[in-house]
Amino acid sequence: MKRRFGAIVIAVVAVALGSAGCASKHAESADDAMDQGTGTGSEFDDGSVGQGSSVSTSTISDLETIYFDFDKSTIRNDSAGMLRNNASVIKENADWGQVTVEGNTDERGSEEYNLALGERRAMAVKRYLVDLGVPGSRLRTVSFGEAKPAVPGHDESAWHYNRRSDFSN
Amino acid sequence: MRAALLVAIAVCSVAVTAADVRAAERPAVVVTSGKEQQFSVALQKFGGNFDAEAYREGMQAALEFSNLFRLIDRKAFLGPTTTEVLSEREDVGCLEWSTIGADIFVEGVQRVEQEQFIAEFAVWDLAGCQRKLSRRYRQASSADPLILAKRMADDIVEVLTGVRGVASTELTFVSKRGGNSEIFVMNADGGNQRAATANRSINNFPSWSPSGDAIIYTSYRSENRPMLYLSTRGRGKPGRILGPLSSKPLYRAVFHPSGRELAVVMSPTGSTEIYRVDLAGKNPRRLTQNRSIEVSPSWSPDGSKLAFVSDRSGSPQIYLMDSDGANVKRLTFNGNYNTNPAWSPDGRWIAYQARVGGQFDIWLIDPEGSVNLPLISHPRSDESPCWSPDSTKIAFSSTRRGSADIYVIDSSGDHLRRLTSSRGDDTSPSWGPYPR
Repeated sequence: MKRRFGAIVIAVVAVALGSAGCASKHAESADDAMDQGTGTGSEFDDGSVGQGSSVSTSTISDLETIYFDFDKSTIRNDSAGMLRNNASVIKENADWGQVTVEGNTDERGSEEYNLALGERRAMAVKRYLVDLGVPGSRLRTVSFGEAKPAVPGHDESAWHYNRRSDFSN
Repeated sequence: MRAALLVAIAVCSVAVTAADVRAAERPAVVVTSGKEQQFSVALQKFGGNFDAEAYREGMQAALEFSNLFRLIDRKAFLGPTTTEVLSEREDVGCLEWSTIGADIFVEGVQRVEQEQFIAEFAVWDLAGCQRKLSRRYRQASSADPLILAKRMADDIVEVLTGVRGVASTELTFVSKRGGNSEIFVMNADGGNQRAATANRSINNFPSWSPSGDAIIYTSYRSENRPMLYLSTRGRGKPGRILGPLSSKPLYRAVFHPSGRELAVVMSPTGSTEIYRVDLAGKNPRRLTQNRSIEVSPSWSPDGSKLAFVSDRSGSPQIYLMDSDGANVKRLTFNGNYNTNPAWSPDGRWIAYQARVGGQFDIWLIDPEGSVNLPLISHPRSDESPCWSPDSTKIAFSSTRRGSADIYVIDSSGDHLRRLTSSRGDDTSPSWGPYPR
């Protein structure tokens, strides 16, 4: 019993380390997005919100990827800002029609369970966006489970990029 | 790294101890293939106008696949190495064959005649000098003669053990060898690997119909979302099935043993549930009612029960339920990630994958939950077990060589054998039924 408890403590530490790695990636994503001027709040914004070229040229693939902790589908605190951003960009771009919210997992675990987990992630993101005022009819969800990794590799350096929800048309 | 290792050791010892305790509380049952005995076989070349050496090699390989036979080197033969005509009891030479250590003598002849390939063989039990079996097969001469070599080998297994051999069965699996996840089919020994899909989408979870005529699988080939398809042998283009239900994600289906119904994993409202539905997609009956994940249904051989996976307890575990969804019972309690149950065709065992130290091993548990044993342990992951139709073998995917390959092992844990070696991952095997 004692040994089992020890294992849990170590596992918890490992998970905590893993999520710390993810958090730093989020900061990078946010910076990248600002450099590309995909939002409307850039320091070089000409002020024509909703009409300027920076908005009309943004595409669904510019929406920010949302990352998750291992075996979790809860929206992390550090994703809130990105989801607010994504919500307003989707609302501004009515011409995109329906946006697909994809749910993905890392390669660990059974493929079928991961399909269900990916679906939970996509649904969590959809619910969050709907709460922010995006019409539910504009969002469809699809889970790919572990079948579409963003980054190849078999350790946490790849896995934390693959536990994600991203957007496509 | 050291922390990871410690986790592995700690979890592993806890799991084994718990299994020992559980096993000790119940009557001991030992998992064996029931076939430890090896027979020494003297196999003659089948005389005739087909390539007799190729036929003998095919039969030898098929016999050896059962792990039941030791083939005696022809150089040791006192009698002829090739059958000219099938023997009568007085001239078979039982003593000559048993002198060189043979338990079994197999002779045969074959010929091509009027666009038919005809092969005839006999199996002699040398101890009693008795003919145990004599049988003639014929097929179109355009077909592969080695199909009959395998059938004969499976007959020989049956006459000696009472259960037909599985050398002439097939497996389906998923391979990424071409870059995409496509469905493949191969012979049970890993031979004749060929693609069943080439749509460059994501294809997964292939599973045989009970007749062996068709493979059901999940594909994203249409609208880039998961739907179910049925690929029927010799019929060309696969058909989408369960159309009436396909507005929702359809993640996986497996045939009921009757072949008339499916257990389907679908997601009506954003959470996966297990349904029972007929092949037309009519009369879906929901078997699980939960906000949790429910996946991986596997029928008991009589179709009266289902094993499945649920994370309702907070972690994925194996459960059983009746085929109408009643009497749900949790089966696995050790560890915090147990999944992919596969009920053996003889009903005695459920193979599944258990996470031990961050990797998966294949375990066997009986449907009462009284015996729970590791089939094979390895520092890399073994996943997705499935049973041969005679319940003597388990195929699974393993990363023990790096990328995932399909392996087969006896249910006793002996005779591990690799079936695939492509550069891409080979996963998700499903073992087909006996050929008709």
